[in-house]
Amino acid sequence: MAVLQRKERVSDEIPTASMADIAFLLLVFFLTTTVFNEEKGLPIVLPEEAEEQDVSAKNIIFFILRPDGSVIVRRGERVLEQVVPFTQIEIILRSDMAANENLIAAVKTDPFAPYKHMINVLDEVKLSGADRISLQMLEE
Amino acid sequence: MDSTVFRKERDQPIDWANAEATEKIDEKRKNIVHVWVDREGTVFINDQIVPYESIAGVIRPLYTENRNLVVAIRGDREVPYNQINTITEQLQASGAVRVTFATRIEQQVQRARR
Repeated sequence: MAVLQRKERVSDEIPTASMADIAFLLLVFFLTTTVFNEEKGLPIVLPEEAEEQDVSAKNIIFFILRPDGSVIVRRGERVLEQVVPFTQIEIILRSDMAANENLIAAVKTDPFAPYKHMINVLDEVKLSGADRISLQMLEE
Repeated sequence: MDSTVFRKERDQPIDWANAEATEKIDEKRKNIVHVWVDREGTVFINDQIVPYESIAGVIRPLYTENRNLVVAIRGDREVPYNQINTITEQLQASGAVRVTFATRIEQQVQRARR
């Protein structure tokens, strides 16, 4: 008696049932590993080396930063100095710039003053809208 | 997938300086090199400790290769300024004059409390 053998049919299609799982796994992987790096800070362009310019003293306002964070303000040619809290710098600079649009804000920092104090002063200078800024170290 | 960035360096433990005028630096990541200065004054560039006098030597070839290079100085808030000044002098010597003092954004309320 002849026995009929049932042939198994082999599908010629690629199984796609797990594609959605793989796609979601990849999605979750990249969602969790992605880092959006945003660089933030106070940008400044340093002068080129040996690029020194003579500037008229009347166009400079000095902010001399002491180690304790207090700031001495000295205007170019004048001998008169005033000690101010750094939070006043923005106001002082705004009013001085209104009178002289060529004004350069020169921040002179004591070598032993913590970096945060220099950032505080630079922050105020930036907030005032000054774009001519000079960073110097106070010479002993 | 397009936006994924695999970090090339480790963040160093620093106390960030805060500034209200902090702005986003609109520059491609490949154009930014970080110079870390920790509280002890140790300088790291790409996870390597770099002596102060060698900073220009490390940055110069990077700048020669990429003229759009921006150097982000990530200094600890307590580091004495003379160390930051040495770094900026070294950067000037290397030719890389576009610098950012990396800071955290500070709200006005916090600033008033400083």
